[in-house]
Amino acid sequence: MTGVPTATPEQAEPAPRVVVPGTTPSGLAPLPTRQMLTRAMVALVLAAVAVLGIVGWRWLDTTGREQRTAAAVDAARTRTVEVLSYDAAVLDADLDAARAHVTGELAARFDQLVADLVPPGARDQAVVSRAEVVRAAVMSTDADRVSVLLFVDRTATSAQQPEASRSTSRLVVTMTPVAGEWLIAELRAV
Amino acid sequence: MTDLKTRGPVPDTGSRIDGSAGLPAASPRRRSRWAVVMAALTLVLVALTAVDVALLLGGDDPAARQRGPALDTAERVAVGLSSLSAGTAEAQLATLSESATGSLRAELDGYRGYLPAVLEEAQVVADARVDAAGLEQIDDDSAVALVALTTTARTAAVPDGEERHFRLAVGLERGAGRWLASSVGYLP
Repeated sequence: MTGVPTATPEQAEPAPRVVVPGTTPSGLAPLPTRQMLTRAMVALVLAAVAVLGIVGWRWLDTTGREQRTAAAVDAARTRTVEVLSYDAAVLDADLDAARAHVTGELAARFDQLVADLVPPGARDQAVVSRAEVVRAAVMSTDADRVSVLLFVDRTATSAQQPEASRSTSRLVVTMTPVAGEWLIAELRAV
Repeated sequence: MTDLKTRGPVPDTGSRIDGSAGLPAASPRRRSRWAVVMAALTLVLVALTAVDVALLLGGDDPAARQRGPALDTAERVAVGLSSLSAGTAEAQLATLSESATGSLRAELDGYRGYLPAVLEEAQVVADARVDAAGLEQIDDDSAVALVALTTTARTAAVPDGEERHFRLAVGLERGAGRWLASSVGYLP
């Protein structure tokens, strides 16, 4: 017998552990480091959320702008056809309808536009003019104006010339929103 | 006995002998999982932030940024094609070819074999200007531009020149970081 005391596992006391300042009892991760990591993570999350929010807002803004531009181009196509097309038999009604498609400076000089579009004697000659937009392209956009290049084909018939004559044109149409609708603010041939 | 699975706030009270129960200590496996999750989350956040910042620095609208360069190429090719002149056609075609791709480039290279001589014989001197141009469609890799063009061609037979108006559709493709013309169509 050696007299050395022995202990069974059940009797053994847990070995005391030295806890160094700034560490967990296990000694694995220094507390200041963990706190700094946690703070860095929080800061990173906040920064990412903020930046993500800005990017999201811009994405929504871009999407909205694309939709506005598409609506302006659609309006340019349809309203330009309405303005350029007329039937001399119902000329006044057609011109009244055309007037509803323009605004601003173009509305102010609408009579001049009509003089350019409708030749003298159109009523007597029973002129019927039809326009078709064959291609359309966006030239520029900003908050309240979209400029569109239109390639337009026009056909005209008259009592003297019942067979349709065809002409082509290149128009720059500037659209502007008025009460939720895109109207023609400028129209010029190039 | 110390509960190894219990975790909680750890008082930082300085050095001491701790043999008592109640102080939390995570298991190595759990701490390892925590570290992996934190590292992965950090990487994801860093990547997200980097993408966000890149998008912010890049401007409002990637498509809008491409409009200018795409239109520039369309206008340059439209003007170049419509202003081929005697004496300079060879160089003009070589420059145009560098701004073209696909079948259009092959077509332009084919012109170099005979067109300069034809223009020389007719003493053609042509000018072209863009009256208006816009983009009909654009995405990351392709675009279609419409160009309203006016040309003036002087020849031996028509020394004063004749002005003509054209409607062009220019197909564009994006390659190697720049826009190249892939087709040019003159609309009647």
